[in-house]
Amino acid sequence: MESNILITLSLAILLTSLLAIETRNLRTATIFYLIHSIFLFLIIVSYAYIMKNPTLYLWGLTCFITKVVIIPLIIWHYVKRVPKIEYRPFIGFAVSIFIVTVLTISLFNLFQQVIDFLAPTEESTQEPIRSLLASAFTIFLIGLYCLITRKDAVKTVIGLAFLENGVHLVLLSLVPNLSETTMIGILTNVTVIIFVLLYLSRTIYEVFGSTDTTKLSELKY
Amino acid sequence: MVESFLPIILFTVPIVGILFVFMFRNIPIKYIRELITLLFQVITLIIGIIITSEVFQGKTLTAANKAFFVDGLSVLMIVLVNVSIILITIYSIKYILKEKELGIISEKRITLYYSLILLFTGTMMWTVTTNHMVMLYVAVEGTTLATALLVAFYRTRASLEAGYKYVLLVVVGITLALLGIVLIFSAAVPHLPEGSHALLLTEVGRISKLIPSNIALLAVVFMIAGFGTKAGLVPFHAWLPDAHAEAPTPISALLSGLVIKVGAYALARTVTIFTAQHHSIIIFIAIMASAGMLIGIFLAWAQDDLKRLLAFHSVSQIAYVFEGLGLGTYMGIYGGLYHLVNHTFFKGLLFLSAGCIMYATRGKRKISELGGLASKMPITAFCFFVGALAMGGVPPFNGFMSKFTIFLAAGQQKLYWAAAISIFTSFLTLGCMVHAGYLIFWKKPAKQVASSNNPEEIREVPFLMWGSMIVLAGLCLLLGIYPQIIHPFLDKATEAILTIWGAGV
Repeated sequence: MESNILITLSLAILLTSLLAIETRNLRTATIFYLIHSIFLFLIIVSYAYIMKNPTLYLWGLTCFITKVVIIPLIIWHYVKRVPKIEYRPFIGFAVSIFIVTVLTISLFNLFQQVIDFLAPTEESTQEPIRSLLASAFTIFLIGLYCLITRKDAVKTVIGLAFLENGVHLVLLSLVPNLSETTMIGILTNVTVIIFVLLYLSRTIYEVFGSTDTTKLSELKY
Repeated sequence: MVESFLPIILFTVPIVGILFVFMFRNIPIKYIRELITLLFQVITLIIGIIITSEVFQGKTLTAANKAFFVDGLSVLMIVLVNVSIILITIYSIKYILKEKELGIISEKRITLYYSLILLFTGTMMWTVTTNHMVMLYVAVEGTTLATALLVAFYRTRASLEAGYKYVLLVVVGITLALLGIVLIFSAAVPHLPEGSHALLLTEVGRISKLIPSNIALLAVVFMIAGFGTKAGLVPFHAWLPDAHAEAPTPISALLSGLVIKVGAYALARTVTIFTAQHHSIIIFIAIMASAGMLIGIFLAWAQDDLKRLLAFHSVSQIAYVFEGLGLGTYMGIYGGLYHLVNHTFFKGLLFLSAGCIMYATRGKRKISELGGLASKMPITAFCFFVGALAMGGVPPFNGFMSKFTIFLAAGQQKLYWAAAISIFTSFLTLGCMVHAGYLIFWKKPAKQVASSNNPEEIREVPFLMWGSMIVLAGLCLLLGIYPQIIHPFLDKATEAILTIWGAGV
């Protein structure tokens, strides 16, 4: 029963990441990103409960402060100042949904099967860590897909955040005994990076009126 | 191993310096911010020298329950970083002041400039003293963030773009490296005694033989891609030419001399642990490095912009460092580290010379627009050629010694094709630099340029600028003629790498 909660949550986190990537309206995408982060937080907390590992609650708290509160606020602050709809991505709406759905389902199944290759220890090949790891690697690759196909700075940042969340989940499922300083270090880092990226992007927008990252074409080989 | 608080002080001193720069920025003393910055950098250097003398007595310093760890390699980096950053700061004083006089930047941004340089010094010291694999990632990200705003310093469209591109690409790359680190860590946990710190590099080094080879190889590929992005290894180099070209020129010297070396340092600390067990890693790195050398040098020939030309040379030269480090032998690692040091000096010198040319000609950096500068700027011309010949691998300059070591090491490992490509690239490098130097300093300038700019205006740069360049040029010659000076450092550093993965010497 307990492991079912984790599996459900890891599927929910996949679904919300798909929605955040595919939604054209940037404000809605930010809200989906927020829901994604809340699920991430819930995964950490329920994992802590199942594994009876109290240090993980602190991890959950740090994650809540940075990923659920600060990062969505930074993105929201930016989104309010730029056009509501994202720049047209390289791939059309229907095609992208099709690709990303197929990609997610097949990747998730693939990772479920090859987890023995990826997971270094015996216990990590058992449920619920198996599903958690599979969804972690899937989110990582979805983030990469988002970074490659999207032009908008907000979507780029969301893709980057997914990439990092994927690594975060791998870290959670494989090495739950991480020290607090390390964890706070990683989370602070990500927050600052997202702030700097959106700060630069906002300055570009204010000066030149576009956040389309592919139009950043002044620099060539 | 000796417990010591020095490593912690080392990286907190520059951070405290930032507070002082902000507190005293309004005191009406000329060059107050510059002086405070230099003061704190010199203090850092002195602490670094104290640490060095301790390490040379055969100790390894640790702090905070082994989370910080200073051995021969850290010492080499500490001294290298501090010496070059002090020279770059001295050079910056006049350069940045002129930018202000020309109205390119405001008074406030000068404060920001020096505090970011101090922040960079701090994060750099943290990177080279940490023993914690995940903290290594955090510190490397810290160096990226500290330099990001320096790249975007002019806030022109091109520089903002370059900064954005720089942060985005490097962060994605380093996140890959983090995934690799996490995989290694989780594979190491079961083999360690209960309660020990598996995230420490020294611990992972001891049990590297027990890590399953599929995990090790997967993690190494992630780490090469990740740290390779930071170092500007082809095909992850897309950020490098833009960032180098659009940053203020002293910062270009900093980027090329120190920031990309962080990638090489992290590689030396992590990936080399596994080269002893997996010969395929050596081949993989050699292929990547050879591709990097060739692509870098071909793209460099195609450039008209002097700073972009030098940036592509960095892509090509960092590949030599990678090749040396990747060989996994004493000689290879020695050559790689030697070239790392030399590249900092000669590439710093070349970028600073480019800065002098831009200073004297009011920001001209297209080679086709320049010409005939040798008679007006003799010291700059001299320095440029010292750097060019050193990079081209001409004896008796330092570049020759380190490149020759790498050729020999590659031959020793029976990688004759890699040695051949390195030698070929070296000749092309020399050709490219001498050609560019000829066009800038001796060829008659194009007509329309000569009429639009009064040639009498072009003068040699102020003493503070050429002074720091002469020091760098002297170092280039000294390390080429008397390699004995740098040998103890390199020997200690190479031994440190080999000791970590248990090979010993």
